[in-house]
Amino acid sequence: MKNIKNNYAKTIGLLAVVFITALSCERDLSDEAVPASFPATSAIFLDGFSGGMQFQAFGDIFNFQVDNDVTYKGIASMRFAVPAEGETGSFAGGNFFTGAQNADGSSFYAGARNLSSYDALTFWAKSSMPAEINEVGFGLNPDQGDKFRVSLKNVAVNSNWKKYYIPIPDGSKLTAEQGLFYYFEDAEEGIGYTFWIDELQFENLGTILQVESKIFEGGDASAIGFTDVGVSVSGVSALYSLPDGSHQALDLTSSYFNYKASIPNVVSGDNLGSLVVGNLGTTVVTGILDGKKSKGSLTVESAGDFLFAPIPTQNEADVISLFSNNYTNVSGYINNLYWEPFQTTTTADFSVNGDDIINYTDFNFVGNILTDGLLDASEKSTFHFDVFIPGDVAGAQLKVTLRDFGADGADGGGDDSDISMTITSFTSGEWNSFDMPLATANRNNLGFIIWENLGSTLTNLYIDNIYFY
Amino acid sequence: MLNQFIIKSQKTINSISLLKSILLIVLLVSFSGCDENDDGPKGTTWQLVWSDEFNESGALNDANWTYDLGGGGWGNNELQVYTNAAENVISEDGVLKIIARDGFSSARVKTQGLFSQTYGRFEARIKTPSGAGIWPAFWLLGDGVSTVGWPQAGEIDIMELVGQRPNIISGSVHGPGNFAAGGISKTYGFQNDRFDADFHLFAIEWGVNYIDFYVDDKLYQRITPSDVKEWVFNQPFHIILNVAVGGNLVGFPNSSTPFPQTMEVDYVRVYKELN
Repeated sequence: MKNIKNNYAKTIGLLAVVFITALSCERDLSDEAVPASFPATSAIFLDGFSGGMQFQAFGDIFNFQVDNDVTYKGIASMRFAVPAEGETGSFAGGNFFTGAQNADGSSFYAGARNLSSYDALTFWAKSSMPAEINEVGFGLNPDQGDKFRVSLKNVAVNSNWKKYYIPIPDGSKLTAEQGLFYYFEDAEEGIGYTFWIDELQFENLGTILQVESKIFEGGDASAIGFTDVGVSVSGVSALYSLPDGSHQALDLTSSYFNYKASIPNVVSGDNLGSLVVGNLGTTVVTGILDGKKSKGSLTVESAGDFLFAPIPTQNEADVISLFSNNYTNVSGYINNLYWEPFQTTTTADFSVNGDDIINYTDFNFVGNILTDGLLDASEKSTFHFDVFIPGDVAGAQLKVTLRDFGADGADGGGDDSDISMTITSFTSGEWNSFDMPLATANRNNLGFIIWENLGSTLTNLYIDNIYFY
Repeated sequence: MLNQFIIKSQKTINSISLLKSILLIVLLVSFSGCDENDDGPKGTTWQLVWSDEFNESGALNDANWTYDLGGGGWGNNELQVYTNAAENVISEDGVLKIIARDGFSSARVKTQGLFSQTYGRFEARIKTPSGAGIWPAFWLLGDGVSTVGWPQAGEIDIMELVGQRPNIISGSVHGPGNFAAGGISKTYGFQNDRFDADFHLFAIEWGVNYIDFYVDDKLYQRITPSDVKEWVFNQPFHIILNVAVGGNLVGFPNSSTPFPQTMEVDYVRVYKELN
């Protein structure tokens, strides 16, 4: 099974939308009708959908149907057809959410559920052959940044009906949730198959126990912060004991945690995963999930006002700039290609007084596209970038590669060439500027920049002023 | 100085209907126990005579505890090997920890030869482990086990938990004609809580012709001589605390069983009736 980490926001943005009009509850919405609080309806699908539900398939693959023959209970279940490798779409995925429809049949997110009284989303499932469903979860709402997304990964199913539990980390935060269930699966060893889900509903069981939770993977991380600049929380996870005593790992977002700073005026937050640095000083930030202290901490040393990268001194006319507020940039630069499934890097880019900064967190490697199409830098001799490490610099190793796609203009094909530089020394608390000589390298068909952490301590870095001259 | 520890049974349950509403699963092996619970707690006043609060760090107080060691299944096809190593049994953070580890090692501590008593209130405040094949227990065994053997010596299981059902415990007695599956037993469960989520108080109150089983001072079972083939519960019993891995009652651990699994015991206290 391919373990695909799905970039849902991108997927949904790119792919067509399939709507099941027959399943939706028709309801006219108006400003006056917006309730002060949302209903706490527990059911999503028992023998049919509860009211106000919409379905959005990932891609134009209609992989979902209501099944009246195979059911766990009652007269209907949800049937999902996973295509074989090479078949149209090659995957099955979709999102069920509270919404409504426009006159043209398109749907939109609307309404919500108040899930604050529940501690799990549960369902029964079986499959036509033993398989592992890549991902099932809820809280998927790209418009809201998937703030409360939780999921189970690699869920084992077989031909026996079994009950599954997706723990709700802290129901008190889910007073207006729209994304109620989503799934993503591809073929098993290339073979397509079918799985069924029935009795999909939120429950208040009281018999699901949080075993532990972690921020920063349970370790003691450190970071340098600047006034009014956010601090990202990474490496979050939680482990639950299910009603049968077995353990269930849960993927969740940092928004579920509350945060406590030992010196509150150094770091403050909204208890939704957003931490902002304030006054000078050093503070230790710890996490709390549903009232239980999490493992791991972040020591933030506030350095006061943000330290900007050095202002470039090259003449604009001599520069091809990809990312800098000091030059006019080429169009089409993309700073995270989400190379899955092995990339862990996420972006937490920010802006201070109009100066945009790239911030890679959970950094292992990341690819960039330089511009629309390929970049010809044959007239330039140097590749420049500035790096700031907001944490411990000891042991940090950064490899930077420019990949020229060669005459075929495509990644691979046997004529690619790389220009690389490995940096093993950084100065703490300062921007580090690097100039990579290009004199003898192919650089007229540049396709990628690849930033790599060579297995080092470098997991969080800022980058600014990426240009050729 | 022990006289300062005097408690009185709480009269918490007066109605069997209330009891039923609290119990998740009622498995009555006894034919008469249900009706007799209508009497409610006996309201005995107790005087503390023995306790271990586990406030010392390190090995257990050897004036109170000794160990069963080794493997061999312990008559139940159990998988674990019992040790007295610190990784399996230790007093720390104010509690006794009995830790079952993958592999499978665990511990079984007992007061045999050090303390035993006939009748009284025996209680322990425990946070259980959980998981398929995990079998924690707080129980009493008749001192006669070394002479007349089991089941003639008698056994009183104050708390046993099947790890794959962490919201249900059972209290049982075993004796001649009531051994193994023929024991007299009843379960007590939570609809929306678990015994591994927090500490709970497990107790028996034992008199000449009754044994009352309590969870958090709620009476859920009374066993009397009429319930058993032979009443052997009129002699000194000693205390045992253990975490078994696998066995006839609980089944066996599987890939979903998390290790290590720890039973935490805040205290064990024994009282006698205040005359």
